[in-house]
Amino acid sequence: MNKIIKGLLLCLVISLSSCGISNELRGSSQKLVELNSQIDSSQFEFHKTVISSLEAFLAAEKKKSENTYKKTVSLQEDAFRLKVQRIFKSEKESMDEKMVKFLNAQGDRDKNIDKASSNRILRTSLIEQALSNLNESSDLLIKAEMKQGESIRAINAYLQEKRPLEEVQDQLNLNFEFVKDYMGQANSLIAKTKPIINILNP
Amino acid sequence: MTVVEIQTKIDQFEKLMTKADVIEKADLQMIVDDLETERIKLLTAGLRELSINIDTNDLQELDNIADSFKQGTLEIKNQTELIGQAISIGKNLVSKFT
Repeated sequence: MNKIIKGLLLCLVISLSSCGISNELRGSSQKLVELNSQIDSSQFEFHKTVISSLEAFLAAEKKKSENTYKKTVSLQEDAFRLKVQRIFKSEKESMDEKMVKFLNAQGDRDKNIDKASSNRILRTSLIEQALSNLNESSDLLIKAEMKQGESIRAINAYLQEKRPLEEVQDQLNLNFEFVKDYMGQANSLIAKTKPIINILNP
Repeated sequence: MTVVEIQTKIDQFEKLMTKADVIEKADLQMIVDDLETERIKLLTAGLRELSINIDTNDLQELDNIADSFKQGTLEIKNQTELIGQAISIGKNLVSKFT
C-alpha cells in the first residue's frame, strides 16, 4: 500500500514538473528578451554611426575625385594654350608645320581630357557601388536584427503562457506541499493501523 | 600596391608639380589622375565586395519562426481557457451534488 502511494506521488510530481515550465526558465527567457533589446538598440546606434561615417567618407572621396578631374582638365587646357603660344611664336617653322603641331597638341589635350573623364566616371561608379552595397547590407542586417528580436519575443511569449496543466493545478488548488502532507498523513495512518490489521489477521 | 603606397606616390608627384612648368604639370597631373583612380579602386574594394550571409529567404524564415510561436501561444491559451472552463463547470456540478 505504502509503495503504491509513493508511486502515485512520484508519478504526479514527474507529470506536473515535466509538463509545466519552471519559474527559473521563464525568468531567464524574460531576461533574454530584455538583454536582446538592449543589445539591439546599442548595435543599432553603433551601426548608424559607422554607416553615416562611411557615407561621409565616401562623399568626401567623391568630392576629391571631382576636384582631381577639374584640376586635370584645367591643367590640360593651360598646357595646350602654352603649347599653342610656343608653336605660333616660333619663326623657324612654316605655317603648315605649325598647323600640324597645333593639331597634335589639340589631339593630345583631347585624348588626355577623355582619359580624365573616363577615370572620373570609373571613380564615381566605384564610390556609388560601395555606397549602394553598404546601404543594401546595412538595411538587410537591420531588418534581420528586428525580425530576430521579434522571434525571441514570440518564443518568450510562448514560454510565459500558462500551460494547461498549470491551469489544472491552479483551478484545483493543487499544491505539492499539500499533496506531500496529505500523503505523509496517509502513510502514518497506515502505519498506525498496521498492528491492528496484523492482530486481526494472525 | 597599398592605399598608403599610392597616396605616398601622389604626394611625391604633387611635390614635383610645384617646381614644374604648366606643360610638365599637366603631364604629372595625368599620372596623379590615374593614381587617384587606383586609390579609389583599392579604398572601396572592401565595401564593394562586402557580402553578408543573410538574404530575403532568411528574413522570411525568421517571420515564419515568429508566426509559429505566436500560433503556438494562441493554441496553448485556447487549451488553457478550455480546461479552465471545464474545471469550472465540473466544480459547479460537484457543488450541486454535495
